[in-house]
Amino acid sequence: MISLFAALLLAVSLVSLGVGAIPTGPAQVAAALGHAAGLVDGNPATDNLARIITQIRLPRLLLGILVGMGLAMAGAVMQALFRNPMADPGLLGVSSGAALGAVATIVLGVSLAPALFAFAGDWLLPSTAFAGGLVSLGLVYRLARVNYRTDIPTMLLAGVAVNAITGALIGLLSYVASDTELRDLIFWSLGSLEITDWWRLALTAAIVLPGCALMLPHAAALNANLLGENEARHLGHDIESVKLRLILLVALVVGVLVAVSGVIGFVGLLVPHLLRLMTGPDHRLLLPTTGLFGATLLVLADMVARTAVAPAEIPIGIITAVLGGPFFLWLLVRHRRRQAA
Amino acid sequence: MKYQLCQVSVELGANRLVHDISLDFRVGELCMVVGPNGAGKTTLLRTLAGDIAPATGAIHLGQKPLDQWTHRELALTRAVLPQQSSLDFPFTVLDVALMGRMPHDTDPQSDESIARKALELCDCAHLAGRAFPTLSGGEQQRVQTARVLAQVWNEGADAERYLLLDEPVSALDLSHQYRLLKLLRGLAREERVGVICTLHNLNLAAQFADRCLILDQGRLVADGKPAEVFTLETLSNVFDLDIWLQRHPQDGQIPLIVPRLE
Repeated sequence: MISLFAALLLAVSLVSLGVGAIPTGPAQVAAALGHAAGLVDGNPATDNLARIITQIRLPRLLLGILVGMGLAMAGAVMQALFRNPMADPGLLGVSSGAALGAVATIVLGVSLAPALFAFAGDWLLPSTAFAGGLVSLGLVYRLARVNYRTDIPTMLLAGVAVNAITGALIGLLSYVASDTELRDLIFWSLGSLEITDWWRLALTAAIVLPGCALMLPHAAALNANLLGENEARHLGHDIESVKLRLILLVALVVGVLVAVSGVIGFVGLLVPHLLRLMTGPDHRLLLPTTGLFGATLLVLADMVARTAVAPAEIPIGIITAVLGGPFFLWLLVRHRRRQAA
Repeated sequence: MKYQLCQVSVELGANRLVHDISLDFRVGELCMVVGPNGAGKTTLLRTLAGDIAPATGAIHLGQKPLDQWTHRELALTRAVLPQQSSLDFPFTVLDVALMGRMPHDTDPQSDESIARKALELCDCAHLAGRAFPTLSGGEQQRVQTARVLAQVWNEGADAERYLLLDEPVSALDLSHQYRLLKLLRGLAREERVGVICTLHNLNLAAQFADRCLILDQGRLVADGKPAEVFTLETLSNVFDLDIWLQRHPQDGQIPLIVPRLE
């Protein structure tokens, strides 16, 4: 099952390298990749195309894979931690908390500590985004837990409140921001996979891949946690430390992804749901397949983002929201029907 | 291996829920805890389970204080069935029973066969493939019971274990109530399991318990064989009800408790 999803991701990735404002055939993609790997000698006629593929489309594809995998797995973990299928990094304010951290760094960092920002900007953004995400997640988690149970209305309302507060603060920051900063802020609110900097991509991968991998060993504990925290402990899991570790991992992965790609909503909500319909709720299978399918879905969404109004581009956050918003409504309706029955 | 409470008091906020209780539990014994609502039955059980830390006093399991056991060691030694479990995710009934095998190192085949046997004992074998959230309340309770049975299941090995159950029959029909209590009595007598179980049905407790504890307002009122502790005076006082105490017509021994007609 896992290899099936991996094959799907690989196929979609290869297709996505060939799609764009300038259509490219499979042979050209293969040639460009071979050229980049040093297997094929350069050909002046195709060099330009090869450069588009390896320096624009490939890093963007890889970032899309990281973002899709990270957000989807973070969503699956949050749903298991909250014991609720409606938890999601975007809805519960983790993403917007991370965005606030990043925006504050851009707007205030440049004016307050320009030297530090110039020197450590690559590290500073992910760090403040992580801190912002962690504070939001910790706050919502604390508020939503009543007597060892997750109170769903409180959870969603806490998410609404955190989103409102961070939204207001981001608004305030954009009010004082300069024009160039403002352009960056808009990018944050809509999300984009545009990346040409291999160093930033490597940094993101170096945090997101181990972050996701470290979630996997807790799959059994997450299964037990769905019965309840006490039940998980009675089944032999040190659930307090598992929870703490997973909250940190989720905040880290989401924070870093928000720092590099902005706020891309609903991936963490939609993907685990679709996968539960296909593979069942067992996290030992759900977590890896969610990661792979999340990556696939985001690469597909980015293909739409790049080609629908080519040569212009739709921000990918808009596409995931267009898909995810109605899906969330459908979930709410289904949840209400079930409770009525 | 004894399960011991030594002068344990439990407080929640400003309320003292359990007052200075000292008790010894043994394996091979089916012990029922009865008492009115709010008497502290669940609190006592959750304190034994380690969910609530006592304000004063100590809890020992075997030679070690309870909080010095690792989570896994504890999970291999005792299982806990809470009063209510909610599970909103579509695990199958077999998956839920299999969760009881999490702490064990047994191979997947024997885990599955144990989980299936546990389901069979709880009359849930026919539900094995169903999604847990689609079951009725009583069926869910039986499946959760099968899960804790699978956890204390110890094929061939001669280890002492404890099973703590909080109102395991609250949603069961009459026949399943009797089946479960017979099963628990069998576990205690034949499998070296110490069973500690809270219950509201006094007649069931009288019929099956080796030992009954009566709690009232957080205090231990009586501790002994059902025929000894279920007296007219104690029960009328504790439950504040005009009751009629008889002996079971079949053996003339087992207490039979019915409210008096107005």
